[in-house]
Amino acid sequence: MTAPEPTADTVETPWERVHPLTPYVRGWVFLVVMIFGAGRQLLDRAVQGEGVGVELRWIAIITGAVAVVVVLIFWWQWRFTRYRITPTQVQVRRGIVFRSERNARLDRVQSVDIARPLVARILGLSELRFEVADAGQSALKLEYLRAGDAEVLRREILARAAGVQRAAGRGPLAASAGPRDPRQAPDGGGAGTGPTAGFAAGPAAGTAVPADRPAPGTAWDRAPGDGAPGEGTPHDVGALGDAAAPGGAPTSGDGAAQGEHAASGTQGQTAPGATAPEALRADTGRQRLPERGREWAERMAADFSGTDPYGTMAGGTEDETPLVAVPTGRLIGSVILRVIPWLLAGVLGIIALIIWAPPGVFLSAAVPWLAGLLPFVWRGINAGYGFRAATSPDGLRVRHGLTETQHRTVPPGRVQAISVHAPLLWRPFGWVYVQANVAGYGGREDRQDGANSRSVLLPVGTLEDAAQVLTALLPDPGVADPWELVQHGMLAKDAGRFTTTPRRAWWLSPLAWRRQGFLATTTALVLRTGRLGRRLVFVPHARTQGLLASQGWLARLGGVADVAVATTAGPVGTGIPHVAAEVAGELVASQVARAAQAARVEDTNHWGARWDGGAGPEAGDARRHGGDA
Amino acid sequence: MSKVLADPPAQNWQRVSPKLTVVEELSGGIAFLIILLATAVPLVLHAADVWPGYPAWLAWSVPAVVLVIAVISAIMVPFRVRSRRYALRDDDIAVARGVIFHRLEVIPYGRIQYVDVKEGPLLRGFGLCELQVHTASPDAHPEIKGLTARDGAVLREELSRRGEERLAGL
Repeated sequence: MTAPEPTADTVETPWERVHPLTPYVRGWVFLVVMIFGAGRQLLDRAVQGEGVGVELRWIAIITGAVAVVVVLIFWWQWRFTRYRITPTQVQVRRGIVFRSERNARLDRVQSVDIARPLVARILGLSELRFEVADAGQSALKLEYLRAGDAEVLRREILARAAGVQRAAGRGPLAASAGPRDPRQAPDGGGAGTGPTAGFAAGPAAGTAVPADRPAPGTAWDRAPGDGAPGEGTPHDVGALGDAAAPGGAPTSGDGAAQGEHAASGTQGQTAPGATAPEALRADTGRQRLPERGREWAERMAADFSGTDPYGTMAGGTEDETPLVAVPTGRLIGSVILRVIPWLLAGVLGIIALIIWAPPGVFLSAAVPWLAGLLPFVWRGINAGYGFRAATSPDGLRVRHGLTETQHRTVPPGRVQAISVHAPLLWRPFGWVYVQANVAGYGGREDRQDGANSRSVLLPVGTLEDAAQVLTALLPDPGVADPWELVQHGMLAKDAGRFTTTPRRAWWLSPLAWRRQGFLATTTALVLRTGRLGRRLVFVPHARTQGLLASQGWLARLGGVADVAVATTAGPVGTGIPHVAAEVAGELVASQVARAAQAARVEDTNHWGARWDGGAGPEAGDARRHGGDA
Repeated sequence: MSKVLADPPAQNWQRVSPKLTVVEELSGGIAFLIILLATAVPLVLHAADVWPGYPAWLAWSVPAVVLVIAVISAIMVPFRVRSRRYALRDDDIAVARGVIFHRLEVIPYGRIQYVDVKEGPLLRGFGLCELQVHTASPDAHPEIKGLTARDGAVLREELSRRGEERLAGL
């Protein structure tokens, strides 16, 4: 219902090429192996003192020929990889012999990621990756683009995917944060997210929890280059809560200032015709070689020292509000704590081996086993290093990674289920991690970091940090006091507002029966499970795919049934064990009704459009249900 | 004390064709026959004195256990078939089955991605088919086995129509 401007549709978008170095980023291993092989041949001969003369010439000639062929193949590959971004689609053409063309509808974009493997970082390149729900098997990738271009494209695509009507003279920011416009404020309040509704706003209104947010957060707030305005106000939850919820209405002057600031930033960014990439290209294209070399060196130094020159990893670009930063110490601590159970199991195993097995067996079993834990630790630290989350008009943005940096944007409407998890050993520290099911992320493994690590939206943080992230993912939780809900959900041992397992079935889950249960808010179903390691899961009604209930004979003895909410594939489990049988049937019926109702109200394909005035007849309803779109 | 998972209220819960009982008995019978033959091999070898070292009790008990399981499941089949039911409700389709292990799946029409109708040689021989509803979730894919071919086609069209009416984004 919010088709992009018809004029833009009729204009033929030209095809673009990816960066010419792309094949080398992908094929560098092959090149290295080749050079290594040739070099070793030569070296061998030299060492053995055999005549290098004739052979050397031949080896040089063959190596040269192979190199030329490889370069030609790479060049052809590059020539035949083209992409373009039309107002409604992203299209990628590739292949020399077997040609393929893949199109992805922008209004089905689930998330936009920028990944930068080590080699790409050295070359100043980025991979842009879209998860598109209807593209099936895998994501659409544009690899590799100049880092600056990728960043600009990412914004452009997200703005278009959000259904923002740029013709109306509003950037994506202004659009999705509509209520920032003073004229809209009264009815924008209809977003149902006054300062009381956002998760983070809760603490601001009630307890002063955020005031003692861990120092790292505040340190990041003061980081140079942090574009967030409102220096007068400490950058605490007051500001965060407001700006955090795209649906939230910042009523403070701070928010207003921010709106202005960001709007000015947005202007340039969404200028028609993608002028920004043009400018960038001209920038680097016309310089002379030494200058380019120096610039490259500077950028690389900046990139690896943490101050990012491309805006992809830097904290606080002008249109976003920082939420959480994970200090490295805490990250390392958390990863080690997660390994400890395995270490303990290992120690027990070693003791058993010492007692019963000959020493040789002991070594051959224990050493690889312990060594096997190291990659786990390394992966955890490598992936979570420098983790930062921020809200933006496009949704939650997270950045992380030590060698390979990842920069992901998850629009609020694309989150299918969110879990807050406190593993047993983290609980003394009050740490939790946040994961989400995002359509397209789940299921398959990709490269060294699996689907699991991609769906992590906070590797470790306090409950307050988690609440901040939740605010961005689920701007309208559908209860008046979301912060209390989260606290109660994670800390309480008793039922409280949740409907828990009936006493008669205690023997089915003797530890967790008092805790495990559910609570339906107006916008989401909240599931609470686990006694030792604790979990709180949010499934927006509007994302619910269906309801499942099952009951075995043991459960029937206890008069309970297991209920599960169906969501897209992902690491977040959405089942509630042992619900009273009579309640389970009712829950299934009412929950599926809520899901159908919510789905009718939402236009999930253009989550930004409903702030745009053109949202059509359901606009009122959509606003009411606002955030969780 | 025992409380059974209740079906959500619906105007008309429909059952599948009773002919499915025959199909299930046949396919189950064939499967068990193969297993029975395979497990009876040591018994035959033992009886023929080719493999006298094989313990007699084991040679007898394994096929016996298989036979008992086969008989029990053959007895269960009619109940299982009769327990298969589905209902088209206002906003969703509900599918339930199970005698001892109950299972209930409810999918809003708007969440249906596509509907498959499948028929194997046995099912086709009895004029039956199997309908499977697919959603974006790997967990929710209810199947209705044992519809008559005509019912299957009608139901598929009806589900597609209702799904389109209420189609929602992901």
